[in-house]
Amino acid sequence: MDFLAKHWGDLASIVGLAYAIYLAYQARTAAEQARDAARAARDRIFSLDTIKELTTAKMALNEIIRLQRLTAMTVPWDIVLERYGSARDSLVRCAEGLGVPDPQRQSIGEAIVLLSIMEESIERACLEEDPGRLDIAGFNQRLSAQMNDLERARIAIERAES
Amino acid sequence: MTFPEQIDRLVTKLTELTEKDKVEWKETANATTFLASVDKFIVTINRTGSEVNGGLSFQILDRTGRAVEGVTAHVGRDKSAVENANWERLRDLYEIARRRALHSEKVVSDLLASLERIA
Repeated sequence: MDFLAKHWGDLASIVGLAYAIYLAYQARTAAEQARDAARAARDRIFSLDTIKELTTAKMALNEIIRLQRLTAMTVPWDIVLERYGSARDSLVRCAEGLGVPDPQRQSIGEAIVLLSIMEESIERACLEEDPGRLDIAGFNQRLSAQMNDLERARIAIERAES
Repeated sequence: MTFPEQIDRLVTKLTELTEKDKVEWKETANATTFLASVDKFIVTINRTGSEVNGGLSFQILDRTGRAVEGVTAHVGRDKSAVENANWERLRDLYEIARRRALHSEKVVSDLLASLERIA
């Protein structure tokens, strides 16, 4: 009792200090939680953007396949080329997006290059006024395979995010 | 003209690793262009013109499809020894990339097995 009477002021300081540390810790934890939540929300938004772009690219590829099923002379090549460009642009945005796992980023990159090669072949054939030489069935087969790869990428991105 | 030193090393390394089946080459819509993904980059090798002495080009692209670096090689009597040697090295890479992408060794061995079964 004598000790307490002599040192109550010191003890109160220690308790006060401990309480202040506790409050600071709680505040830090709350700040960290808020930061983590903000990051998660941001990542979710980026991930949704990437998924939206993948869906847009797939829709463009679908339309390309549909247009390329017409006979070579009746295919509206200018529209087809425009669709190739828009699919590629969407994929470039995906490739640059955050939160895309590396294997999916790689397959998106391959799709971009494959589309560029197809575009170039079409451009050349159209310039030389010989679109009939294009292996359209082969193109469509590859585009279908690309659509499957992009769908796998979309699923993997969704899984990585959740 | 010689290839830039790093491209030279890259072509050598890619040829070696492809021989060891450590780089996977794929077909493209162009029957004479093949591509391989290596980490963050994509490389393509393309032949234009004749199967015997057509020009060859090798490109490095980033994942957005932007060509970062590339070389082309042609062969002929009017070319220097170095240019012809460069072309031969790209032709070696092109040939092995083509065989791997088309799985031609497996096709040949399957065909051989089928023929042996017939016999």
